[in-house]
Amino acid sequence: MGWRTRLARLGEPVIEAVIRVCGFSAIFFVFAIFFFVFNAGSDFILHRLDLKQFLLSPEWYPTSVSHVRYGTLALIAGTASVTGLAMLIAVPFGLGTAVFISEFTSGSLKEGLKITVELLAAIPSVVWGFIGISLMNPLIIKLFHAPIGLNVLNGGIILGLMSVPIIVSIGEDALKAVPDAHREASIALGATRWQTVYKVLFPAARSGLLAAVLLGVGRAIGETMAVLMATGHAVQIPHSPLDSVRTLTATIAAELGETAHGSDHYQALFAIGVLLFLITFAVNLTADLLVRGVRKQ
Amino acid sequence: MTAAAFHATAPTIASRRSERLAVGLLGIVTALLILPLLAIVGLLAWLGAPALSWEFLVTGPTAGMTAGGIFPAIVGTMWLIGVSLAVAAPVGILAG
Repeated sequence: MGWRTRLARLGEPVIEAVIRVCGFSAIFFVFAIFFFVFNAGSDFILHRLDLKQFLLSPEWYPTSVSHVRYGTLALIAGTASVTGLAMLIAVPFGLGTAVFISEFTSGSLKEGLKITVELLAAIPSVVWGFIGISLMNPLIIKLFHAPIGLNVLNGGIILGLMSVPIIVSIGEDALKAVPDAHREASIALGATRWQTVYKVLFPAARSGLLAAVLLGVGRAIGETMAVLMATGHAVQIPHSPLDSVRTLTATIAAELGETAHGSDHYQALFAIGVLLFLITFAVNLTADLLVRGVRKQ
Repeated sequence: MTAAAFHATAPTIASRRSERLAVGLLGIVTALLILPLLAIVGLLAWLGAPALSWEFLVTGPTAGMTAGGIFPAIVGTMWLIGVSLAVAAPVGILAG
């Protein structure tokens, strides 16, 4: 047995161990991040956090000297309204584009469209925020005679455009996963391509398409920079799309740099971080379970 | 045996019409998505082009950050990309 064989025999378990460690490291990092965020706010969360006030009160006055309140309801409403409007825009456009690219185009047009949609995904979020401030702001003021153009509408449109590429690519994967035999059988029975899409492909790819939408939602919930610049940063529950709001992510980004390390305000922001983590985790977990269900078929 | 001519019946005409409508609608949706993107990128390029030059990319800011170039920012971004790739690529590839 030459030295090369001996080295290979010895090296094999070492390489396997390294790969296994890397595989588990992903899980480890997720738990480590959650533990770190929870730990940084743990003193406040475990001893002084009034959960009812935190989740149900719209009054966020962390810097008040006389009457400190940590109510995040307005912030949650801000995140929900901007994400909701974004999904209202992104789901029809995203699924429609996914179906069009996947079923009704071919060859170079298909590749060109796919590349262009990927280009949408490649725009950094700060550039989107910049577009919201400089382009959409005066447009909204002029079109809707709004007093200010930084509001739910602005943030919603920007977030919608940011989430569309995710919905398109995962939706396309879901549609591609449906075997061609389904399409061929449907066409053989006399259906048109559009009838094939909504009678055969949509039911077959239903969970994959739902997962695509949920992952788009996850992206929209976690987006910070674009909403920080485009939503107007006002702590209030919005009554119309032309109201300014503040999201959970923008609150953390804007206020963390100005708090004293370890103070109650600082720890309350980490509590918001835990809340965000749990929401995004739930959304992504649901999406992943749905996709796993599709693949088993 | 003569070749039978195909006469379209009412359901076929209806489904062909709805197919054309659906494909047209989906095409419009896709175009409505692509066009604003191209418009945004084009507008950014058009508005930013006057400031772009070789000096802009290789010199640092001057006059209290109100003039000059963005070279330090480019170097910072390159460092950030390099370090994050060095950490993420091996772990990511081996984990996947």
